[in-house]
Amino acid sequence: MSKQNKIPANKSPKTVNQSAKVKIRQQPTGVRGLDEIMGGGLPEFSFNIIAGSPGCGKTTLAHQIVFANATPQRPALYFTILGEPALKMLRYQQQYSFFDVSKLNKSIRFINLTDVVLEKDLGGVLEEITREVHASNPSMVVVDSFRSVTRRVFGQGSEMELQTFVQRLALLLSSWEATTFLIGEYTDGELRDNPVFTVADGLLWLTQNTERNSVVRKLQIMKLRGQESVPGLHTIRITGDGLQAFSRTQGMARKKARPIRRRRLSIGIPELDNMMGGGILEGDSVLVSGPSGTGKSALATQFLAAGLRNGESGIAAIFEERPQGYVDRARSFGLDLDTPQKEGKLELLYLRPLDLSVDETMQEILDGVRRLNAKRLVIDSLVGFEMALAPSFRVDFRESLYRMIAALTGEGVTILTTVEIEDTFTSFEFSHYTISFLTDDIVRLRYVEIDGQLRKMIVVVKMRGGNHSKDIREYVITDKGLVVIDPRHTDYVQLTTGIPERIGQSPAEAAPEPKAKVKR
Amino acid sequence: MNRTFTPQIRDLALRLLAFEAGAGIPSGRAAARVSEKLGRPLSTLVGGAGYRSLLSRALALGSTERGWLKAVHVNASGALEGFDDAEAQVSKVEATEGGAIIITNLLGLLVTFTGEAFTLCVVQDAWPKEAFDDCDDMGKNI
Repeated sequence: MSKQNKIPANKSPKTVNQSAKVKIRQQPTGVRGLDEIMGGGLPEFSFNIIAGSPGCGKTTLAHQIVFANATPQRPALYFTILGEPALKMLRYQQQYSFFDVSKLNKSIRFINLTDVVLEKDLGGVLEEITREVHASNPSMVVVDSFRSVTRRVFGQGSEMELQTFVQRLALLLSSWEATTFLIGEYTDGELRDNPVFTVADGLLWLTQNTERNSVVRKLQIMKLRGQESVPGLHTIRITGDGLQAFSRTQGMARKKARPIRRRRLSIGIPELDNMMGGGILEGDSVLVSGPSGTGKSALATQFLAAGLRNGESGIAAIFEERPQGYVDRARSFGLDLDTPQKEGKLELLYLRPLDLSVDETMQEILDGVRRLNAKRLVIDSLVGFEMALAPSFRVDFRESLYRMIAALTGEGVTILTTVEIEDTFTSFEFSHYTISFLTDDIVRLRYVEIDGQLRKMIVVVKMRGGNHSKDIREYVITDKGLVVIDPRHTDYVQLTTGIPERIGQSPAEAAPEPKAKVKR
Repeated sequence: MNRTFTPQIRDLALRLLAFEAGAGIPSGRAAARVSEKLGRPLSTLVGGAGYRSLLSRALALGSTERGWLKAVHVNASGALEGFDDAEAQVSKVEATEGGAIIITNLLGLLVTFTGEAFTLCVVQDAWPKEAFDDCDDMGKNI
């Protein structure tokens, strides 16, 4: 380095370089969840492709982006070419809530280039686009469908002409500071060596998969220059509000560090609190597993009610039972779930559609948690949850659960999840899903046969945050809900098999619930 | 199929025809001017072929109401042709009504496909100096 070029000692070269770096501003997509997936939003002046098969939402996505960004000062130009007739496109797109007719002409101009494409070569198309861009000074430009242009060119066998056209178009639109979207119907096999994809800064790939009777739409950011997007396939749903995207890592980036000293939360059953070392540690994920009828939902309801008594709002995501059934059962235990619902302290989310994705479910739950600033969450149950998912999501259920629980506990919520398992007499399962690694605490309920009665027992299997009772305790379900009864004087072994053996002398001990008597 | 569009659509059509009508201008020519003016923003929006389809449909609907309109046709560039000769065969009132029917049908089709607000945007684009804020509810009871 020459003497003149040396940087003064009080200025580090890093500081100079950092301040000189260009900052790429981001524009909102107008699509809920998509900004997060894209790493903050659309890179300004980028040249993007929205690709995918018919019916997966390409045009709707482009419209949503355009309506979210166009202003009278920096309008958007929407070029339509062949493909869906413009009249019908405008008819159908108006059905979406984001389609604001008052923006037409002033902020958004739809221009049909079909005649130009049919009558002229690509030079003519570029000339027409250039003319419109110069006249409008747009902030956004959409060409829909660009595939129609390329098909025409390939039909004439001139790949070089297409490459030149794409590069000139990209140059024009970038120079005019327009963020651009080319829309096209492409298949996976067309990705390689395609000049259009080479030039593009961003590639948004939309797919629509059918498995058995369910249809699932997904989005992938296959390429995005200049910023870090969230990799992988993200579920999208199209409703009357347009597209909504569900990031597969939603919430994980926001995960808060757990405080060193955490409170103990009452589960609403004093004796079980004692067994758990004083209660559940705040922010834990608790799994309550057991066969049908053992009182998992009752326990979950008591957990929510204990929180409500303590001023902690709660959410119950229920998949098997209707909300009214939940409320009615709680009432039979003397717990009022109606009032806290009316006061906005409790929500019962009834999630039962059969083509849900975990990400959509998670979004629904997260929205509820944020809406109520909920501290407690019940997921009742995992089996019902799995059934509510589209078949393709059931394959990845374990991974999805991991993401969901991480996201939710990242919000500082204490989660109690129920799972139904079948009691066997040869093993002592906690769950079908091998998900114990996801949970901090496991409480197992099971039936045991004692003295001619099918009684219930409870045991705390695991508590990640501290010590807990190792006792296997008997419980009953009364009009107070689940009640752990006093330890028995009689000793048994092999309780976990469900067929225990009495050992030692046992005093005569009354059954916790009356036995049938022989009539004389 | 004979369909009736709302009085508001017809009022708008008559208003547009009045803009383009002048002393000594035949009714047909006024209708051709209105369709030509509407054709500019519409061709931009839906393409030349799209506009020609709409106008042809409007003309076909009009022909079911007034048989003499069958002599009128839409040419390749999207203009109404043959109106002058056709209206020479009917009274002035009838000629005026023929023009009104075609433009009413054209506007009615636009409202049917794209809605009232969108149609007004197109009309406003074609007559930028005029105000069309009083044309609310023209899509009701189509």
